[in-house]
Amino acid sequence: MLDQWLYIGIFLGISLFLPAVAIFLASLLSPKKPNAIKNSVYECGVETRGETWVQFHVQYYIYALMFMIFDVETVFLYPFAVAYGQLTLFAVVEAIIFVTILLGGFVYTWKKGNLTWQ
Amino acid sequence: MTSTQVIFLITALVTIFSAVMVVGSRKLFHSALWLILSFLGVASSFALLEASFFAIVQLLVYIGAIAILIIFAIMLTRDIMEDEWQQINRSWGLVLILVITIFSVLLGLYSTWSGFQTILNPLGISGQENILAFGKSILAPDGFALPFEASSVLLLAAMIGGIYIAMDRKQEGDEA
Amino acid sequence: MGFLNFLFDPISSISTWLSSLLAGWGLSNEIITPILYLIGAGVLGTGALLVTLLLIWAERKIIGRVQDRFGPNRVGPWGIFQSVADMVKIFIKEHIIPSHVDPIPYHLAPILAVSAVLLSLAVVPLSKTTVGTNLNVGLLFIIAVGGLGELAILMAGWGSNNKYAIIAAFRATAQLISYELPMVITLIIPVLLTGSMGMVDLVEAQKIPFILAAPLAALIFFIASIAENGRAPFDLAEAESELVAGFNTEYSGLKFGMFYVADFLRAFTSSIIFVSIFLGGWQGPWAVQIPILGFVYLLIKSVIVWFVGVWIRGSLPRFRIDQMVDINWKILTPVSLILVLLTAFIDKGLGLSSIYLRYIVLFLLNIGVGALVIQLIVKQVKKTEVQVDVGSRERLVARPENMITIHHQE
Repeated sequence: MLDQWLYIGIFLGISLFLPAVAIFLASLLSPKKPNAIKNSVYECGVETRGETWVQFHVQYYIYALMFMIFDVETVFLYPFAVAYGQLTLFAVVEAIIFVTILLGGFVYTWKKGNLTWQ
Repeated sequence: MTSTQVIFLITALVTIFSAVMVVGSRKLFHSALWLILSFLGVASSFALLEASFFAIVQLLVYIGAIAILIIFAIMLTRDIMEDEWQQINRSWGLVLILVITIFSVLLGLYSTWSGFQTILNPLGISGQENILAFGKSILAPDGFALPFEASSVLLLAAMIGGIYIAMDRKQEGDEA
Repeated sequence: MGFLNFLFDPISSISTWLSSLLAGWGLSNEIITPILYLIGAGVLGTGALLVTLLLIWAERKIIGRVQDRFGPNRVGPWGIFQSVADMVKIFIKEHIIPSHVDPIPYHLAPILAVSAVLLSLAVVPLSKTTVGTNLNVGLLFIIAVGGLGELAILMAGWGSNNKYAIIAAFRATAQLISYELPMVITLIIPVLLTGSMGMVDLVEAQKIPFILAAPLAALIFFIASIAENGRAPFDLAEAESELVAGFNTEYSGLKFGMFYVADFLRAFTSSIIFVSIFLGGWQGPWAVQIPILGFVYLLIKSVIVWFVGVWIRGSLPRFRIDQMVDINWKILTPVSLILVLLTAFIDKGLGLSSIYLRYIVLFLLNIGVGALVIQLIVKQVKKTEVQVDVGSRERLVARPENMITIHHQE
């Protein structure tokens, strides 16, 4: 068990190391001639105005919220799916009720028009 | 010290350090990134405890969903990206002493607890059986079936509440 | 006999040889395992990055042919060394770092983007004997690692301090998290059928590929994985006409190259994952006896799936953002949820013991649900149709509510 996570940890290290080394080597090889215009913000030649980090529309937040709720729900369903072979029909119905309750919220959001992009 | 202990110490230090940085860093986005690193540290602690499922839930839900939700929420707030105020107020010295005292008292109390001396029994089941047992117990009527269904209601409440609040804001300030 | 064994199963032979060699040097088992892991991960990672060069060439060539062009054809036979030349070029290009970037996210993002793609290979079984690791939550691991890719995009968009980049990054993330949902949900079905989340167990359970038991789930997963890769028709995040080049606008040199590599490599790794989950992975005739054959099967199947993806990329126009959102939230997500519930309920309710009967029932269920969904969509489209007479002065604006087919008056 720990062995498996050790492998994942080592793989994470390697997978960060390889691109980092490549970028480092490339930065050694590449020319460095910065100037003010080259380093300015790229907006198709138009000078940039105002703050970049602007306020975003609430739409994004609604999708992220919906995603989070259903993600949590699905994560609960995975142990159910693993145990599925040894469960009774009653337990399966329990899982169905679990999802149906949340589907109610989904329908609510849909009817309120929050799933439509504006 | 075994190698597992070394790894544990490193992840624990990284977790605590990044948790402190969440509060300490001046840019909100950086705080969010530190928070993610802290989540990652917690995930590796779970992995070290051989609780694979919780490690992966930590990755999937906390980093994959909650952290992104937080970043989206950051982008929703106004004039936020950086604050220039003093982060520490005047009585910080007093608070530091107070905190250290409470912490050392707690540490002293806990260190006398017999639970730390007893050797833990290994779970006996590993790998897939671990998750299988978990799955069976959350659906067993004499197990955790009721909390399981209740969590669904909780999620429903969270969803409808969140959507309702977001909706109201949209009608007020449409130009945003 | 030893030589034949080596031929049939080179990778595990090499690893046994290496571990006995290291043990001969007097190293303990606790040190040998990490060393072997390190070598294995290093070889797999480097190999994947090198294969990307070939993938980029092949994809450009195929897209070229689809669009009635030659594609790369100057460097080497059939232009096969084009990506090598490109790589050399991108290696020696200047790294322009705009003056107002937020340095840590900006520099970390390209590295994280590649590593998120590579990490998903860690749990995929390449043949009967060559397995990174049989993590007991391997399936969820693959999805979770996709979340790191989203993070890389957000970091790139934020760090660049460029309006286009950050808008593109947010769009891309909204798309990625949305389409992650049907992906996670449909993957419950293979787990239901296997009773395990380990990738090795999943592949071994597929004496008959799961695509036959869950064709609709496989289709939903495939569509969602195209969207996860951010490829056409779901490439809104890099809509050149609207957003310059997407979240990587401010990147140049190899840092841009890393996003490019991640993009092309992910197209292939996601097809390997699709094959492992729905098409039986390395399974095939004699794959158990001769593990190397399993690897070949896996590659052949993955190339076919990958080709279909490239074909779709070359053929379909880009969706508008409201269509992209609608497809996910109003079709894929509810359908996949209902499909999972129906699969669990009917399979348990009937309680069939014969695997063939189970597969037939589930296949029919999938087809039935699919037909129903298509009918509902057609009905909805018919309802929103607007009649316009040819020659009338009325002009329609291209807006979502006018999703129409124009009828010519006879």
